[in-house]
Amino acid sequence: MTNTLTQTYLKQYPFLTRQEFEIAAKSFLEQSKKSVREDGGDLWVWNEHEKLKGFGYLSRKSIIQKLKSESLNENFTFITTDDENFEQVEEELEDPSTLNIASETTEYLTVDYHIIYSTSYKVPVLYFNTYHKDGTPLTNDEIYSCLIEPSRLEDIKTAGFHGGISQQDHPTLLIPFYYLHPCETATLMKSIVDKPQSTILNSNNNNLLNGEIPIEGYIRSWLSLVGNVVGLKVGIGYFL
Amino acid sequence: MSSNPLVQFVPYSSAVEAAFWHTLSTRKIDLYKLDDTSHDILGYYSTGHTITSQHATEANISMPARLCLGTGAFDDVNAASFSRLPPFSYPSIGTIKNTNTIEDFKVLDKNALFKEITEQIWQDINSGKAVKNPYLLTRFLLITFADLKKYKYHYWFGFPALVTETSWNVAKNGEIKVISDLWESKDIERFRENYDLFRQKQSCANAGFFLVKRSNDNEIMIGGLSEFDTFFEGCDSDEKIVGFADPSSLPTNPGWPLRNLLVLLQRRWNVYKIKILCYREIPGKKDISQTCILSVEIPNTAKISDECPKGVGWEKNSQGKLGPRSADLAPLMDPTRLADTSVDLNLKLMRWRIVPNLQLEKIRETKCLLLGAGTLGCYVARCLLGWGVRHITFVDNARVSFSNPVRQPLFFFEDSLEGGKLKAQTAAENLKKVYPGSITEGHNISIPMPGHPITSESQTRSDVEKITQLVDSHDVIFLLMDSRESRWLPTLLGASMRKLVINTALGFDTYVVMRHGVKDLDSASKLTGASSSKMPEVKQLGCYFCNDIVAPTDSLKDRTLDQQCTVTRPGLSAIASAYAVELMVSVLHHEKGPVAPADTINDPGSTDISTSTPLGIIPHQIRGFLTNFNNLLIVGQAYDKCTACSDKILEEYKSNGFEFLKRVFDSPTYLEELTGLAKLHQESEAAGDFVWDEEDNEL
Repeated sequence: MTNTLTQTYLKQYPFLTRQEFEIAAKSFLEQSKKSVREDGGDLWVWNEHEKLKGFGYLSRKSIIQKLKSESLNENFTFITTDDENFEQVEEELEDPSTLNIASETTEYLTVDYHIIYSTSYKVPVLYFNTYHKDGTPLTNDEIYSCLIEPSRLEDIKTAGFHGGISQQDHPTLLIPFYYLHPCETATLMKSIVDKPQSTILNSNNNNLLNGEIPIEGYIRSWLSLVGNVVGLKVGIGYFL
Repeated sequence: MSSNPLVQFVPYSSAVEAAFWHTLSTRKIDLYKLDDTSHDILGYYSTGHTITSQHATEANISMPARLCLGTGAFDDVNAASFSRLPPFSYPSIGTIKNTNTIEDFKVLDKNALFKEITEQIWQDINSGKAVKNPYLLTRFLLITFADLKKYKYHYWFGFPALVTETSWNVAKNGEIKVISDLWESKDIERFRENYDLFRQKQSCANAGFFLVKRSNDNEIMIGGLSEFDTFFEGCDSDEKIVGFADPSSLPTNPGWPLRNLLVLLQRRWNVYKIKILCYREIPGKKDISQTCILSVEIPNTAKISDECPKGVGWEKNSQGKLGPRSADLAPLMDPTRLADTSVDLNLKLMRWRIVPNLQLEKIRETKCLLLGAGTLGCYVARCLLGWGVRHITFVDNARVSFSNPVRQPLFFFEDSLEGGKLKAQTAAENLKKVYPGSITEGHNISIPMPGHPITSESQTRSDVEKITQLVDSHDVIFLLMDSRESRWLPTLLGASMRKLVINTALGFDTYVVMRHGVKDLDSASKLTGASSSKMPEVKQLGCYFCNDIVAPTDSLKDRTLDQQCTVTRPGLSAIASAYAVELMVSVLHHEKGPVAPADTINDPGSTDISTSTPLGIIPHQIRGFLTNFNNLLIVGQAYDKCTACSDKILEEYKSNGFEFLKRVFDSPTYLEELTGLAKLHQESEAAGDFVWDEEDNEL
């Protein structure tokens, strides 16, 4: 139980300050290490900003199966192409010790997930980029058809608490990333906590009574709600 | 023995991260420039395994044996860069040869480069370097050409495996099996723990190749390759196990690194039969259940000569042929493509969040012709871009003057220098600066007008032809000129070709934004007029000229300068232009398009929330008054004596074409004669006692 010993509450739940985000992120990292057996969570990494202290972010790389979608329309083309008209290399005889694998049988995608603090919204934001095996990125349409689970598609399109997918430059790396828009995150984080009528309104310690989530549990709770839309699961191991 | 099957090795499948291509580009530009000598790069691989699908509906999949290049690929090859590799991965050193041109890439002596790497591996085996640092067995070659203008990368990997004269076979009773079929689970667990310790000690770099044995007290022990001579002392040949981190995930075949390892074992220690452990783990899960064990052998008569064996291992492309691949990174790196993506996503958000039936694709494909590239034209164009419209064509015959840029948001001060640039072309050029994805052009044409007699017939004829062709090739025609009579010809053409015509005109503090009616050819439906029951039935909506009882004529004549220039409150044009574009978008959402009947008042207090389009109502005319900051929605019926859109005029135009137009340009009263307006005048004058107001007199 990580959260019984050190429970700190946010000053302004559901909003985080940058310092609180870093604490939350590092607690999440600890939980992910402990949940290794369950989820392979050891793969999360904390990245410090090259120049600015306190501007770090979490990241992990995942390999996921590419969804085969029937709704994929015809004008969908694979970006990965071969070069035509190149003289081939002579490999004299077919080498019998080389296993002949049916070409490109397994379709998989690489996803970079980043959890970054948003100064404007004061909440964590889930950034992601998805690539084919040669590094070519998925197009907008491919993201919807290959990454997002069909049952979640409506959800993301009507933009419930996921807030829809947008694209902007990664605040640190300065290359374009997709992200789940954080406009509904605060509402979401508020809605998941119990709100019994607190009678001790002026007490400094009424957070617990309000059922607020402590800093240490913030990211796992948030991620378990928004992550699976884009193929990122937070297993039960993070909560043990 | 020959009856035993050959060991068949799973070749690598290259996996390149976008970050690698980014780094290659920057290095090419800032560092290598025209230097195309080879450089070392650092790749990595992890052990093969199947992954559980993140989607409940799909089955588990086997991962290909991936050799990856990531962000740190260009770091100097040393212990520090090894430690920055992703957790649970093993280093592999490659040589990259990046050519300057596509031609160089094509004619490159690929076999020679491949042979160089093959020889290097051979030397490392013979010198013992590969015993000390067995990761040297996995050297690879990458040849590339980076097309930095198109963000396209041509590449080809080679993973040299030494081929000895005799091939390795699966030993008798040595078929590949998963570890749990052969070992007890407590042994597997001990092995996993000990291997983890070994890996930590080796800091991953040389943990990809190792030795395994059981000690006398039945403990599983791990050793480095360099300990080969001592480690197996006293072991039966059956107890000697050589392990390697196996990128293959197939339960039936070991992966590529084993090939060079076997050559090393044979060459240095005369190994002819050996048990192999194919180490496979699920990263981070402490799960090695997919690890396999097999025994391989080679006739002990087999000799390896001192000559470097030949190498195999060029990667096949996605067609399964030997040839290069190419990766198109433009969607990630080309700013123009990025703008496309972002604009698209932004609009989609609107659809998903607010208006699920928003027809973005239809809007995007709509071709818009803007007649007039002044204040209205500029604002309309900007607003269309906001909706994702790509096709925007400008027509104007003026040049940018010094007073224009402050009011006309597609022009800048520089555009008005040296007599001013042509407005239509300049508007198109600057629109491309706002959004490079726009498909836009400007045409410098004067629109022939009634009452402005022709000076050069050939010029007028070509202008008419050009305008006719432009109206024909666009879907929506915006009338955004500063005079009334210049709207006549495009109104006629629009009516004749049944296009959606949006007309905007400004007074000092008043404006009108309207769409021209198009006759409903579906005769069964008479219900084309106002949909409100309060309104009298309207058969067809009117055009700009339908309420006139005089033909358009030279309104520029006999006016002072301040009357000739449109003097309007500066905000008016932006307001009217925005209404014009939003009116177009609403009409596009009606199933009848330009034929759609007019809605009038949408009572805000009404409980009836059904509107004729997902975006709300579509009016016929919006009359705005800035003095009171209010709008009136007005419906005007088509007039059967209209000088621009009545059947008489359209038929006359159809049968006489340019000759008809020419007569109109020379004498506008011809229109009044034709439509019967002249007769109407005479009758009313005969009736005598009331005065016609020349102002518009609407319903």
